[in-house]
Amino acid sequence: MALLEVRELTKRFALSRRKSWLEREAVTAVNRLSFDLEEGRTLGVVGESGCGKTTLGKLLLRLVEPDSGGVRFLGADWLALRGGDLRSRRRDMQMVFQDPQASLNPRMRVGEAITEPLVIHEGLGAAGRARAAGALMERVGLPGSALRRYPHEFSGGQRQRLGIARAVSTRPRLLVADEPVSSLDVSIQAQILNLLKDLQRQDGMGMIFIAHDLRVVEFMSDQVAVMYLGRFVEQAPSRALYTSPRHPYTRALLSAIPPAPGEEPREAEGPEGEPPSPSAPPAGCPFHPRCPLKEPRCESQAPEWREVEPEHRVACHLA
Amino acid sequence: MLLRYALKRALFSVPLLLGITLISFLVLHLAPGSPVSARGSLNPHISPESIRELRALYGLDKPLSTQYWDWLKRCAGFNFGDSFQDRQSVLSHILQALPATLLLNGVALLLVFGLGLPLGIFSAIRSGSPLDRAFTLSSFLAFSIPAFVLALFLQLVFGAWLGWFPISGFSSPWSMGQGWLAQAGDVLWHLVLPVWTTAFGAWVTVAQYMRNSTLEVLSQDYIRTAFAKGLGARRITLRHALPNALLPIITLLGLSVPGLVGGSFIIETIFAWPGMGRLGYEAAMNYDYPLVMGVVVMGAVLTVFGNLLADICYAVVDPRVRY
Repeated sequence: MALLEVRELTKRFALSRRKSWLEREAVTAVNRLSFDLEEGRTLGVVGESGCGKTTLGKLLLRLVEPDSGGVRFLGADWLALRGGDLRSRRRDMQMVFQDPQASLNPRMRVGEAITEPLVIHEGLGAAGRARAAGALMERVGLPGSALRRYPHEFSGGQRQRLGIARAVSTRPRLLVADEPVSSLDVSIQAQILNLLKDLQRQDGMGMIFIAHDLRVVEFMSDQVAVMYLGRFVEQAPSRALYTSPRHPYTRALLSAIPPAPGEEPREAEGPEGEPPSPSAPPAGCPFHPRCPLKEPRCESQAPEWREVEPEHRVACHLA
Repeated sequence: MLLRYALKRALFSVPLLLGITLISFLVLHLAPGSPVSARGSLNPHISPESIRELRALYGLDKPLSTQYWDWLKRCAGFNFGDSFQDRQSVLSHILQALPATLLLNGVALLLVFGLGLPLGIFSAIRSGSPLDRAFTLSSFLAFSIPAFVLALFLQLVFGAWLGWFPISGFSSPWSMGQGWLAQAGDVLWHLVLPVWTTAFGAWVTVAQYMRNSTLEVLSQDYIRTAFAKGLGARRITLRHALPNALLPIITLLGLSVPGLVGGSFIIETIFAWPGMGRLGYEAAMNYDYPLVMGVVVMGAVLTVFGNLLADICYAVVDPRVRY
């Protein structure tokens, strides 16, 4: 049984602009997404900004409610949970956000902030809280003596460690990490990524790792999904996706990765042009206006989401 | 550490206060008319000698710079001079007027913040609801009514037509010699309309301010984090949103300190309230220079003090403030 099963998940946002007097323009941020995640595994989600990857994370966390589709988590209907039931089950799915500074209440001492989930979910008292806080700080590599400090007294990397400490405090089964390192210096990024990996191995958590940096995603993920205008266009085991990408968009993204030191220098290409407005997505294959391999049918016929090799799915007529 | 910060800030406000008194002094003395003309112009038979004598009596014949310097020297010893009108000391005038103003504005301030803050928070939490919209619209209407219009309106409706409340004054003649309970009740009865006028515009301002501050905080990432932690709406509001949303309110509180003691010229004059505002107004009408300066200095000191107090409060409650 999969840890997480997502089926046809869809979210539209209404814009204030109107199409007509009666109808508002809408953006389909997440468009009929389906995927599974096994216990203890990591699914990386990559895509350009605005492709809907953050909305996907929020939908899974139920910070935003989907318009349609289903999510099963730990074998139960996750979307059916309401009110207090949902709040008490949130302990099983926690998150790490992009901006660790803004994600911490500036007037709360960090010891309180990282143990607050334990207070509400396990009813910890003051003594238990202090003990748990010390242990958590140690788990994420921060000095226990810093518990009574405020968030602004920490560096960016330390703050993200605090965010991670808070997220793993309840021993969740699934961690949703939305761009957890993109606001950090490169030198700090590796430490945070390793920390996430260590904690995942220790607790056997599943992870949804959302990022725009392909190298980071490759390092973190077992499976990688490439997102474009609210859909997955390719999903494959990490190695397969990076060595033999099938979708032209994936290939374009991969060609844009700067070569690592020691690698052959090459022309960085990347996908041409800008992604089209998600409020007016192109007909047929959403990628066709930017696709170098475009054929007539791409303009009218949306490609199917099909398995081309075991575990390797693509939405492209030509793959 | 905090004490040093407070002392440093207090020290910096001394030149500011000096500047305020200097400008007030100049404006006051350069304005057309003088205490002598106020007393002499009604008398067609006044002789030039008498005018000269009057000027010498008030010390107005000396150069302006000397007059200011003399005034400043006296102030340093907390002697603000005597009123031109009755030769009573300025300080005793102020001390007589202060309790009435403190009472009026203290009650108004309690109402303003006691009603304004909860309304603002409620409005923010229910933002976009019909109730919130109605409140926002009506607060703009309320805010645009000037105090003197409202005062006259209340006097007309509740004083003259309905006869529920006295139109003006601090107490009724009949309450003299009654028990203290009856006297206190009588003062409270007189308080209703002036307090209403004083609080009306301000509590709408405070509520809107609190509404915006709460909305701002509710959109912060750490509120989203709190939801994702699994906290309930009540805990999020009380533990995460409010402590942060209340921070900017400190400024408003600091700014209301001078009003609390300084009183309002307009409202106190309309309601014949024997407080600081009316004292200042009457002093100005009579060219009573020492008394006007006393009221001005009082207001300036309190304004600076209120700001200082707000800054110190920030330093105490907001861990991010460095000092």
